[in-house]
Amino acid sequence: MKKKTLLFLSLAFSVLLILGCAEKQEHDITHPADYAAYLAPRTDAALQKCNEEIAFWKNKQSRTPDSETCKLRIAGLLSSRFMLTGRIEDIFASDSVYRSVLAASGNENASVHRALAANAITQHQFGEAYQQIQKALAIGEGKASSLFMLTDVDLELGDYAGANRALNKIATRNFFPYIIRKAKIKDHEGDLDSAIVLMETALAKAKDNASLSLWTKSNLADMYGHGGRVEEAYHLYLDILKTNPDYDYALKGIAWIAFSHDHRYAEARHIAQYINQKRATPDMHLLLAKIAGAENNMTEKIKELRVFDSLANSPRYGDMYNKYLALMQVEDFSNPAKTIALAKREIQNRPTPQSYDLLAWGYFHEGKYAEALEVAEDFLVDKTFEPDVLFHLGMIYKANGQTGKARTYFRSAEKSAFELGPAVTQKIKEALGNS
Amino acid sequence: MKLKYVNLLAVGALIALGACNNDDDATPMPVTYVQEDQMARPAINTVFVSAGDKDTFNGTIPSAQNAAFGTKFKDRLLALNPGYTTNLLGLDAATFTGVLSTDVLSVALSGATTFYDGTHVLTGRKLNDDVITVELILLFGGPDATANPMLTDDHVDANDKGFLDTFPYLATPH
Repeated sequence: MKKKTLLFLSLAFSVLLILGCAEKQEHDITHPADYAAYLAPRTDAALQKCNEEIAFWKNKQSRTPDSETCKLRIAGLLSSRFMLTGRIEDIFASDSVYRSVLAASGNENASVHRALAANAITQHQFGEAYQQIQKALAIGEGKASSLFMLTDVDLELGDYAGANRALNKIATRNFFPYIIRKAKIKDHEGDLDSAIVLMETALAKAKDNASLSLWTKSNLADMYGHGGRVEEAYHLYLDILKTNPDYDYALKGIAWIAFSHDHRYAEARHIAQYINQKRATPDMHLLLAKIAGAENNMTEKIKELRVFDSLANSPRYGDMYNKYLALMQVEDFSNPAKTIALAKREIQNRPTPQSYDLLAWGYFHEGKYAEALEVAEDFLVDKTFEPDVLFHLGMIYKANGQTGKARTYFRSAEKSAFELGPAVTQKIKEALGNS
Repeated sequence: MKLKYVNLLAVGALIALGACNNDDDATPMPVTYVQEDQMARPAINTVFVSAGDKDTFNGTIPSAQNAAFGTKFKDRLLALNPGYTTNLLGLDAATFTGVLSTDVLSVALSGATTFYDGTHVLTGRKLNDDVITVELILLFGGPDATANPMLTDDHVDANDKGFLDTFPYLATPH
């Protein structure tokens, strides 16, 4: 009897050991051979086509300068080119063409108001986007398209009830634009599983439309990553690149997996630098800074952060990078006062839980724990399920002596280690160890 | 997590709506099609239907358009041309807008195919028909096409590139 028990125990122990090992030896997901081809310099076919189309319409416009058709085509193509190159000047040019069309048509053009709203969203001018959508709705034409965009804008503004109201006015629901927004709302509510199922449904519907299909796949891949399904995310990113080798968003996704899951920092840097020399946008420098930080190369980290800071602070980007600038000020430059100022500005632009999180996080770093807790309980608790906010909530509760609640939040955040990256994950582990 | 903005207009105009959420595999999913858009005579929908009515008009089948929009078309015609009496077709305002508000392209199964060639009217439409000028004449030209001479010609007399003799007949993009 005793022997049997011992045998059982030792068997059970071996099984535990094996399981433990299996978990420790989690294999790398990214393999350079899978994506090396996409890091080679080549002509960007999509950009070339976009440039050709712009040249075509500009040529036509030179013969018919007042043609609304030419103007609308050019404005739309300039917006598309921004998506390909990140050159913000294209959005400014697009805006001004749309405004000239509106002026000529006496403002009675709902689709132009929607296009201006889309450009405003791109520039994080959510108040302006809201105004444009209200104008489109008042004109009436294309009501469903306007309501879909109102849903988007309301979500960006943190008006979740408004987003639901707008989407509920749509009668046709088994339809791509409805489904992706329902997915967005579910994700916001913390129901990632439903969001993923909806996004998969949307992907099935988008299969005959190349660009919608790529867009849907990239969002679905992100969701897989957030849900811990990192391998599926990786294969979806590769699948995107197979269709369009210049879809940098997918390369960025792979860089994050190499960084956050595989801890293969040199590879992650290689990809980030490739994207960075193609697109002159500030955000890659943030990733490069994180990579340097993970390698304990603080000089390089600060150097990259300063580059990001100078680029993102350029007036041409307006409020687009406020969140990241705010986080950087408090976490890397010990400047919570600046974070609080940016947070207040961001709250003015979009009173979302994420904006209030910046405020609470600023107060926390200033040592104003009671203020941080007040903001947290008024605007964050049960209002968002983003893992970085959950981590911040843990820290705020801990500082206020509520260790039980703190642990709950740390444990919730810990589940999103991949999304948070190694540095934050390490902080969560330390916090859990100490509390 | 951020979803990038997507242009919804890229989605096709005619959509399938699965009306049933029944999980029972044995029941075939009933499918309902909803009319989202329609097009027929050039510029008529653009000129006569207000922006607020656009969605409704585009979703209305032609046989129901006159009942729903005939009066609005007539009001718009008389707003554009308060002096309207009849036109080249001999139609008074109510009759003419009745024809227009049923937005279909008519075609004669025999004889000449033309929007208007001086003799035949609305027996079809050829690519090189000067449709906008014809419409302007019918709206503003009065019974003998001579009224409002400043308003009855768009002065675009031909396409700026020749049409093809074979399919697809349209000029290549230029």
